[in-house]
Amino acid sequence: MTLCIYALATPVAGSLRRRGLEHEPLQIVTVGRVSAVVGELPRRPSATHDVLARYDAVVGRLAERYTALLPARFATCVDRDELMFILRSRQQALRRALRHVRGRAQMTVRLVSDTTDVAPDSPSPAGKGIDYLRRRAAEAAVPAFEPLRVAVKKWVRDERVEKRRGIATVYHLIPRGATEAYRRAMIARAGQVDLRAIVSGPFPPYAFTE
Amino acid sequence: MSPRPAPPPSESERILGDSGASLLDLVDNVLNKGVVLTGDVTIGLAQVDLIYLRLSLLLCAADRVLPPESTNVPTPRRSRRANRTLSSQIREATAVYRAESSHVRNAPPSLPPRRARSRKRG
Repeated sequence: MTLCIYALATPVAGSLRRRGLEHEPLQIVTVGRVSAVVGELPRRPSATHDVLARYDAVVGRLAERYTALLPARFATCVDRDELMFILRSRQQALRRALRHVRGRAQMTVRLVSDTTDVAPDSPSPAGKGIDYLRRRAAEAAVPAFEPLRVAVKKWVRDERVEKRRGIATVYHLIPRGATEAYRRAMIARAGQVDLRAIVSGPFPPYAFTE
Repeated sequence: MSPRPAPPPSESERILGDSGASLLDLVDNVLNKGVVLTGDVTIGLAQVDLIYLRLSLLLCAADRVLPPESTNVPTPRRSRRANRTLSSQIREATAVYRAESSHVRNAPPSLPPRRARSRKRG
């Protein structure tokens, strides 16, 4: 048997009457002011579409219960002693991360563009380190997203940007109560500037767990 | 003025889905994101990973890590002297530890209890 970690959260009062991936009862392991929500599984879960969807559903239900929640990466399985050690040794960093996401949700915006703004990653020629860093910073920038960013700026508490395979993905951490307003503003602005933007969410803050 | 008609969806948009949680969201969130609970630390600058440290715990006795016969293992020339010094120090410390352990093992089981001193008052 192994402990599958679903999420870390700030402890709340009351018992947890929820089930995990394989309908196992979820347990709470608390060290200091950080709780881990775990389920005991016979083996590490395999990454099939069905299992991933169920995992996401479990984490989504946990996010309804906990206002501050850090989803664990899929199939993070440890034994109880190791979990206690990790929670104890990383207590400060985890509490800081939990404060950051408290009462917030993740929205994901993907830009699909034929312009060079969303160019695929390509190997860079060798050169000076500072040139390399500047080039990486320029590659990470998405100028086409600027008008959209302005439209939702008042809700955005944090942002992550990724560019892969010609698709730019922008993750925004926003207040949970503002998700619909954010979506409307984003879609309206994208229509005005004739940009293909796919907005999805709200999600638990998967992209803001560092 | 009538609103501009929406452009037809591209191939990417059909794969990505139009709204809500798509398969891409599921895979991206669950497999690529989320807190990783291991001792891995990545130090980065401008989204470039510079140093990668695996903070694994190695708890074992020094004499098991470096037994006396391991001195025959070839080592790089640059660090050979340093390794020799370190190994001799470890051997020395191990010998002292063993000697002290055997001394403790060979010690008599217990000493007779000390008599408590009684003070006469007055």
